[in-house]
Amino acid sequence: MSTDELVKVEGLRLIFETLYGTVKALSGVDLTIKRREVLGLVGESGCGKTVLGLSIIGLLPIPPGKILDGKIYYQGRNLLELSDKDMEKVRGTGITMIFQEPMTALNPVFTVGDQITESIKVRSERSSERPHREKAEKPRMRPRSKNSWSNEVIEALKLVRISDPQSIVRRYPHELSGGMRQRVMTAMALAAKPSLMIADEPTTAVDVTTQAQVLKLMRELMEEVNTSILFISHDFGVIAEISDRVAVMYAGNIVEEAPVYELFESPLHPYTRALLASLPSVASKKKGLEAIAGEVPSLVALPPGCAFHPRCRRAKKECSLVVPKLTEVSPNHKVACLPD
Amino acid sequence: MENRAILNVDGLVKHFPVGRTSFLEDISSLIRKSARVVHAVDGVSFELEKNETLGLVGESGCGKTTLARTVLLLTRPTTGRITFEGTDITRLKDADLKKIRNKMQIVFQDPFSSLDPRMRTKDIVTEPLVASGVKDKNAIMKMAGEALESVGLKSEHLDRFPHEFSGGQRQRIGVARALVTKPRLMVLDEPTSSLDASIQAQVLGLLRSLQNEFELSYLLISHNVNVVYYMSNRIAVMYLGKIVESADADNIVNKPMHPYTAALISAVPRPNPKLRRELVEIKGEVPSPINPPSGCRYHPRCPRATEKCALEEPTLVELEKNHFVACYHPLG
Amino acid sequence: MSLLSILFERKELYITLRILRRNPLSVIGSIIVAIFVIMALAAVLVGDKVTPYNPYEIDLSRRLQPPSWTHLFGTDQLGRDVFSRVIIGAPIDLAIALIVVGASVVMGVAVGSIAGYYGGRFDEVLMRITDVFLAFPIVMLALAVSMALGPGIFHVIEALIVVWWPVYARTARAEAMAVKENQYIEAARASGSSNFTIVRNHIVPNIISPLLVYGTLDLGFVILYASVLSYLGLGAQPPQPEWGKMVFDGQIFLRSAWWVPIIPGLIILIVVIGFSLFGDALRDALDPRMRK
Repeated sequence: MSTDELVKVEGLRLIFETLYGTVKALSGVDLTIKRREVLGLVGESGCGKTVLGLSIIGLLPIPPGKILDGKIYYQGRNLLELSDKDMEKVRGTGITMIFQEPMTALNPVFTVGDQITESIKVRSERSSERPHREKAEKPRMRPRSKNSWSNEVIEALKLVRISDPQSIVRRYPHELSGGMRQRVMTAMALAAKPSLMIADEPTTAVDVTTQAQVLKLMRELMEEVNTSILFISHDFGVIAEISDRVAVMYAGNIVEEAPVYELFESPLHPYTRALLASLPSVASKKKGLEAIAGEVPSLVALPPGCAFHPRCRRAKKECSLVVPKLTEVSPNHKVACLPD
Repeated sequence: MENRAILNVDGLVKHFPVGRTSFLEDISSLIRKSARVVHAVDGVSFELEKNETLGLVGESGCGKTTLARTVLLLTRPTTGRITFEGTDITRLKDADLKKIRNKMQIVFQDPFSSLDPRMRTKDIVTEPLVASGVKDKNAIMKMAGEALESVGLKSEHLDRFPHEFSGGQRQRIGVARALVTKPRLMVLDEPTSSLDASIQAQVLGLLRSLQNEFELSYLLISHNVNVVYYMSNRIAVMYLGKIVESADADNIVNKPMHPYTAALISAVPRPNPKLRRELVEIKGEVPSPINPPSGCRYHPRCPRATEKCALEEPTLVELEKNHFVACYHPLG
Repeated sequence: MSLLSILFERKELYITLRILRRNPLSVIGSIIVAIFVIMALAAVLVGDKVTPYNPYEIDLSRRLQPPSWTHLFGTDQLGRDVFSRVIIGAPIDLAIALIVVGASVVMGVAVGSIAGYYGGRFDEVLMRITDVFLAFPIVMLALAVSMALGPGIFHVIEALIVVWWPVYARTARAEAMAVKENQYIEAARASGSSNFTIVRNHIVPNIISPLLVYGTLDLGFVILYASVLSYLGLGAQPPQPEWGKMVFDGQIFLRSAWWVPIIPGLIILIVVIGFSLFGDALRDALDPRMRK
């Protein structure tokens, strides 16, 4: 691992054993997340992007999930080999995650201030390798008096651009709007100053105008707090707005990976190209959209060879025989497709 | 005056009582003016012309979904008038309404919950025919088969259950159901919002070709501005129960005049990083439709607001040809 | 997932069986229920021939004999073979259970679906009526109705139906209210279907399934209450070999010939537990979350 690489996923293969059959959620995924970048992970439902995010942070339920192969490197260690206890230390301090539905991620019976305090507390406990001198005041779960929220909590709220942190800090989640809750969840995730924040569809459930604000906030935070973001979404527009680099997933595989401008300017994989050509946008004239024929395959019954070949206009005979590997075809631009 | 409009909505208002859904209908909420109500739709007027698509965009709480339901009289308006093909249908009795229903249909958002999982496709698609009194079994089956084929499915699918189909196919079944009575007007309520991106284009393409083939008029409701722009001839922007701007689709997107429209359009993500831009400012959060702000409903969040905006509500004015705006300080 | 799809699709049936097989308790429950049902069917279809002895034959010379290889469960105070009487008694309780549950489901669905769908005044009135019934403890109410009607199995059935249906009405109403929120209901209204058509074609088929599962669980409890009422002298009359009655008739022999009251009582216990385990397992197996 070179010094600008934060997380490196190598050859990750993951299945779920269900009553309906074996679900091949990830079929040999290679992915690198660098320091100080936003990596956009984009794909349709069922492509495995959420599963990949959960695997990195170790929140995947094993069983029914089962890792067949692969490594996830973080700070020189393979996360898959860590004990539960050690993985817990990484989670919340080194790697955090925010989700689509802030209402389910936030505890309804604790105030905002309490929950952020807990994140901070967790971090200071887990960094107990540091000498005692460095430990600041111990934060409490319940404030002594109404106004004694620690400064760190207020700062965390200010960080996510909440304009009135003193009043928000004592509110309960249900008293806040969707956009506000999303910010609180982001504040909790960042209060621990992680190296990597995984954001799984964080703006899918909010309005367009709120989404724009949240995206802008995340970009700014990435710079300020020095956190990398793995941004998972099905929306190519959102991905274009926020990412530095983009990885496209289809049916459990990464099919293309490139810097954001290059991916949208010259997409190489037939899936990426077809998908981009099928998106309606206020930015394009209203010509006909080219739809992709067929349906996304079920992960229980993947086609042989390249998973996209049944729907691909450029498919050849070899495409059904060989699974193409993700290879670099031009600087920093990788594609998983057989050459012509 | 030549009336090319197939649908004419005038001053439509729909309020809901707050709290337990009362079985007393809207009449009581009019009497008890002081009672708390949700001002879902608060005075909306527009026209839909034949063979055109009018897109209604807005964010949560703007009232577009309620408006769609009320226009079809799935819920009775509080006040206002709806004219369909020249006939005032607002106060029609149920029996008369049945005859009109055939001509006004709706496609729902969720392909999973808009089809009864216990019914076979043929029963789902033929329900509107049966409800309108068609008795001839052969004719019913024939029309069902035709409807399925026009959406790209096969008549052998008639015997299957919804769960045997994919999301995109289920949405097509929903479209077939809406088509089977040969309607003139179709309300499309977030028709592709629950579908994957690669399927979305298929369904949108289908809807466009059906519109040409059957000369349909579409009222398209969506929060997805990209989809609305692609499908619509004209767009009306809603905020807190009112239309704040309406114009040709190109003008709404490229020359918005209402500050909210401008903020909305600038917030829409473009699948092209070269188009990253400065956001048009919008402050705070959407207020509750139970207590809309005084005067112009947008004024608490508007960077251009003045005292006048808080006092009196602006009305829709035609500032340019076919471009209506409700604002005292419009852009451009 | 639904009972109907289980029955109609082999793949779903297979998966249900796999889930049921997992848990030893559910296997036990299923076996008990299966044996009980087979026993009852045999008794009805084949009659006396399936039992080793004639259950009604009185032979005072053989009275109160303990269980042995000739009389598996011993004989009672009139010399009748207890084992044969248990077998012949099975269909009585099964029939009572099926009729009571069946009628309760039908009445409950009818009332509950209308209350849940229409809401408003309908709902209020119907719910207050069921409240009246639900306010009384089951045994008390069943006793009261039974005593008012007089002895006999049919009166027991009527009493139990009166007591049982309100719970189903409540459950049906809750299910109907949930189903009402689905878009296909709105679609049906947009298609022009009348309210009655919607209730009949959309609401009822979609709420039946959980109610049937609930009913399966309940079969055991109905058997229990039917036995209790018979024990109290209200149900079966001699010489019908209803299990509860057998317990009552035999209780004076509790010390001297324990098998006469205890064995029928044990059988009741086993059957009720069996239904309970089976019903629980079935409910879990049909729960869509478990199936993932």
